[in-house]
Amino acid sequence: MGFVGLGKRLLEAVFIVFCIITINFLLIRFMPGDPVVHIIGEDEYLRLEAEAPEVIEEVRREYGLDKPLPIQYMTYLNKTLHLDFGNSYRTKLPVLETVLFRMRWTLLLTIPAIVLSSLLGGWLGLRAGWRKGGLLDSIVSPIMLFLNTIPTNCMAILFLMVFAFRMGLFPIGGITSGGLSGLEKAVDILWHMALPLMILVILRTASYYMLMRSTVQAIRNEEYITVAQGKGFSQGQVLRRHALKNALCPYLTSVCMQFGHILGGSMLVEVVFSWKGMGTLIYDAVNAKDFPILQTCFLFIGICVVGFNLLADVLNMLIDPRLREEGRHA
Amino acid sequence: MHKKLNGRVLAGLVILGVVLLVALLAPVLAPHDPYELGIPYLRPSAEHPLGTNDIGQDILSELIYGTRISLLIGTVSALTVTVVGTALGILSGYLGGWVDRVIMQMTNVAMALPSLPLTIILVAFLDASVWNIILAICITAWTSTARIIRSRVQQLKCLPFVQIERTMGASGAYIMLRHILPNLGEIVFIRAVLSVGSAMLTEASLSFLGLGVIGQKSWGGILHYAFFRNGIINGAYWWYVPPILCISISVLGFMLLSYCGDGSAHGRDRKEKGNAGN
Repeated sequence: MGFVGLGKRLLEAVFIVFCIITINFLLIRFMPGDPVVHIIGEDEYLRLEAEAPEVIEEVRREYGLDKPLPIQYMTYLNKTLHLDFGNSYRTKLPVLETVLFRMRWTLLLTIPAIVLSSLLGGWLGLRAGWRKGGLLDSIVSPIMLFLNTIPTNCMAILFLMVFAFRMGLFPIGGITSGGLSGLEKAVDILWHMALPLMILVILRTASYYMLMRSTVQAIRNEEYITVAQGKGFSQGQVLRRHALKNALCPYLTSVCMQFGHILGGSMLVEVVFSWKGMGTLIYDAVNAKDFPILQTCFLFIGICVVGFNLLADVLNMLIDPRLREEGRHA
Repeated sequence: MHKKLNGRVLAGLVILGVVLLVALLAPVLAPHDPYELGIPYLRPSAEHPLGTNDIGQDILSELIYGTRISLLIGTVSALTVTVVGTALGILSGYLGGWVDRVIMQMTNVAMALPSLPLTIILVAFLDASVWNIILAICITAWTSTARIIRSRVQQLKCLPFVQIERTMGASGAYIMLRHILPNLGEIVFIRAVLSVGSAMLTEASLSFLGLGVIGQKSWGGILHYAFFRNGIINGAYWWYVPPILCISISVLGFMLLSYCGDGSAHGRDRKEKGNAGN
């Protein structure tokens, strides 16, 4: 049954999240210096050391740092499972709220980017892969290949320069101009979103195009395509009913598995456009050595990526009846 | 591999040859000391062909010296990634069984970790030295090489020459080193070249975010200062356009070079990714 396979994948997903939590734990414990410094931050540590040393001991007890390593690990796991990530060094606000708030803005940028670019890249790649060496293939492929070599931040800077500074078509950064509400605010956010979104869509389209093109090129040589053509179906019918259907599963899997890449790309775009999402949060946290924020961001990004991988499995099962019956992945 | 030297590969070789030459001859080629302070925000002139930055350092010299660190980090990371990925791929593909299961499980986990955030967090925790950056880049980058090598080895394992060696009683280690490895030459080379490109991209992103090697010029680092010290608002195109071109062109060079052979390494890569559910 397919559900057994899905259960196994779910278990794997939990294991990966567990690995991420473990990496976070190891990072704090095996960094040089007193772990308490890395939990409450250097400034706070120095202040407390001078004014109230007993608070430091309290933190040490709370995190079980006076106990052996396995117990420390259990304490850490327990805290993470209860979503207790401590406070930011910099703002002193609870980390969880900050990260969740910022994550919304990142998802607002990345999810439309994924949807648009996977549709566009998939459609173009399907066409180009079907007619290898055809007009579309020979024009679009070199362009996409070239786009694949441009680093995200470079493209972001060039777009910022040309479209925002020189031409003044778009705002140079931020999420909203402020002081607006309702529909006006939504339109304003869309206007601010346009450039970052455009960059993500262009770059992801290039990579999805390559994916779909090579998948379709491989499928094109399969016997069932020849058979379908032999039966007298029109090219369009074969393309839609045989090629597309078979290409869709590996394509969707790759698109979902690359969610980590798009988050990486969106980090750089966010920094360039000062979009106050997770990317800028991580950037600020790195500069301030704000470790709790960094670790929590890492954990939540990991959870998102794992979630998208699971989504790929579910989608594949919905599309491909063979997977539902056999309960295994092709 | 040599007979198939087509136009794309040739172009790639030319680009990389120039980049390598610039890196090696940096002290000779650079018109100024890249750390020397001078008059800030100078436009391009005969004295400073690409102008100067916010503290008056000559940008052309910065770029020339930056070639070194970008190339060093790119190649060392790629070498590490390729050696580790190939070794794991061969072991997992040839031995199969529990070794395969353990290695593949490791690969699945490493693939699911978000690579750029993990690299950033590692560099932030460790200090930003050359070796730490290389380590941080390598930690997630070996997975696709391992997967591709594994599937190729699984095919090779079934071919007659390996079967014959086995019946003649050759040891597993001997077969893997003397018979499997030489047959992977092209695919390993292509993966290595692609790894250099992606490692250079990661390095450029890291140093753009201010996480580059401290006190060393790098292309991403120049871009970092150009962006965060208002080079863009001031319209100092000579400051931020050249590093962008350098990064893109060298990555393009490595991509082009990877088109030697029949391109199967590219195709197989994607097919493998698509079948990652195994």
